[in-house]
Amino acid sequence: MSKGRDLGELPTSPARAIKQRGQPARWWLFLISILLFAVSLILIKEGARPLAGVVRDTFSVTSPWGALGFGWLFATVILSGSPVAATALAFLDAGVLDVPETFAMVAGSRLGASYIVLFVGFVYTLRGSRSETSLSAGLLSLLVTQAIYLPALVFGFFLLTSNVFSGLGLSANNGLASPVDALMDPVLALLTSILPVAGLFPMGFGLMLGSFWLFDQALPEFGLGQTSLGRVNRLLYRPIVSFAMGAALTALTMSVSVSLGLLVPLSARGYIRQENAIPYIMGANITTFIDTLVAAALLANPAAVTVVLVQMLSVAAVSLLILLVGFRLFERLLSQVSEWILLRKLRLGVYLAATLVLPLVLLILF
Amino acid sequence: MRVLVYTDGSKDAEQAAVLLEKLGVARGGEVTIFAVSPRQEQEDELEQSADRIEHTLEDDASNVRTVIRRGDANRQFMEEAEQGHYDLVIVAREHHGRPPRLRFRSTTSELAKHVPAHLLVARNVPDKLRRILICSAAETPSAETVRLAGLITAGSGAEISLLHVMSQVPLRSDSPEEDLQASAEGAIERHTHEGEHFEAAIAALRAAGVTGDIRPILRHGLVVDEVLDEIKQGQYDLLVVGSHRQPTLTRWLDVLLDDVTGELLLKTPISTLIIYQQKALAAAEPS
Repeated sequence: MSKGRDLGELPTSPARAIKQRGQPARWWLFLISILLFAVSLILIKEGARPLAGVVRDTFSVTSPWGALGFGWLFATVILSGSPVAATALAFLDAGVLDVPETFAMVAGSRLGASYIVLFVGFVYTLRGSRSETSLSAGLLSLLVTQAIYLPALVFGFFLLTSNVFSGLGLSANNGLASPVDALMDPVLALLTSILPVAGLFPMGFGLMLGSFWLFDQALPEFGLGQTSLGRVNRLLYRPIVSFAMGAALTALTMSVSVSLGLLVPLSARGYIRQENAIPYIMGANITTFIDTLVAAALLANPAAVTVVLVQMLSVAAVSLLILLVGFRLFERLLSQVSEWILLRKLRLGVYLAATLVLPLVLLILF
Repeated sequence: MRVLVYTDGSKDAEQAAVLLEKLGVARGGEVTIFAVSPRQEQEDELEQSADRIEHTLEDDASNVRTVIRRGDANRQFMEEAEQGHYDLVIVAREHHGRPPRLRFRSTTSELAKHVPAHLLVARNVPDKLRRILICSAAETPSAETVRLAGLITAGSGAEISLLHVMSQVPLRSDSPEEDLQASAEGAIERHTHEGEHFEAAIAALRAAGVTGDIRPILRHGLVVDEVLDEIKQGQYDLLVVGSHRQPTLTRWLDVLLDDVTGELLLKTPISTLIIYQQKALAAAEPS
């Protein structure tokens, strides 16, 4: 479930680890990872309540734009989007953020998730140990995400502020008891008696990172080489097919980078065709929210569930519109922009700086 | 070789016959000129068109016959093309009447998908065939496409460019990046996968009887865009591509794959030859 993996380091770690484990061991790892995830959510929620002032005043998260910048930067710093998205929901549940702010922070978590991969790659190119070409997939992934999420953000805000979802109840104070709360109350009582309140959030966050790592280890081997997908590096699939593949595989792995990593062993040289990669990432960007949806369900908070569903719906709507109406133009534009950026180190540096500065500006100005 | 030439009485259809003559592929073969008359009064016009086509081809082909049928043109022609055991089917791309995109999708693209023969779609036929662009996917089925393309185009005496487009990006940090930046010459020199494919393809073209210059070209970018860009820059007269249907593809995979050939057929401004791999062209094999 960890979202910030280096595309260049993907092929070996999960696959190799999984090969060494039997089916029962994987199930145990899966169950433990879910349990840890649930515990971490409760700890983050409990730990978030006293942090409201810090989030609001110290980090100036006082508007959806500020929350977007906060989620974006947070994911950039911790190299992963999922824990930030789950934290946003815990903040909503704890009353730290409102619904639009939570929605924006969840979107920001995706925008910042793969930044560090590109940044580290850029440092390597400056040192001369890698060429700019090695960053193509990472840059393409980031560009696709940025191109889809910005219009999706606008559409999502429209959906949230209109009456479309009024029936679902957008209030965070829903009066429902979380099943996790009921199960975890004794654990929480024990931990709060041992730990200071200020320690709950960091501990919860650390546990959440650990749960994502465990989930990765529990993933089975997919054996894609034996399927039609085995030729993804050579053949050109219909965009809608690649889109569906990306959505399906990411629904299983819950991570864009891990599901892209599944494709690496399919090619002797570790290549993927751009024509396949772009719709694949578009599909992956939708189902990557499944773990966030699980977090919302564990919190038993209708508003949190709505936020995640609107996020998925708006990203899906924008992606499908592009696929059905102007995919070739979109594909060409992304390919040309990517090529243009990678042509000069200075351009790549400026792009990376702008991608880092923009969330800071959002956080400071709004 | 058995060749089917379709005419609707237009000058474009007659240009298609001129292209066939320039390729020299009907030499000694059997040509059927096919027309469909929806009404009695159009038959004279179609017969005159067929006569002019026959005149163009009579020095080349050993036997030329004309068939004029009544009924729905698309259905009749599709039936003849599918059931007539032809090696090569020739049509002109329509660009009059309804918007070309719609017409083209409805007829020529359908032919490309269903006719069990090589398909030559004539468009903007030049005075002389000087340059031919053969596109290759650098995979096993593509080797057969190149060989058959050589057999069909060898008689034209045109210069041949052999194009492969790499649209791949590396997913791994240790992926060989040089392959994604190499020129055709560099790829051949370094014996990369693409380089070895070029060498094999050039040898296949020579074995097929191509005597003119053969120039390998390796481009990097999106496949359709790069092919169209090469056509524009290289001022080619004929584009040769493999059919979307390939013998190695299962029906399932056939549904999943993008129809690059159909897209090129739609967008290219020049004549296009679509190679159907299951058509062995036994009569044209060099001894």
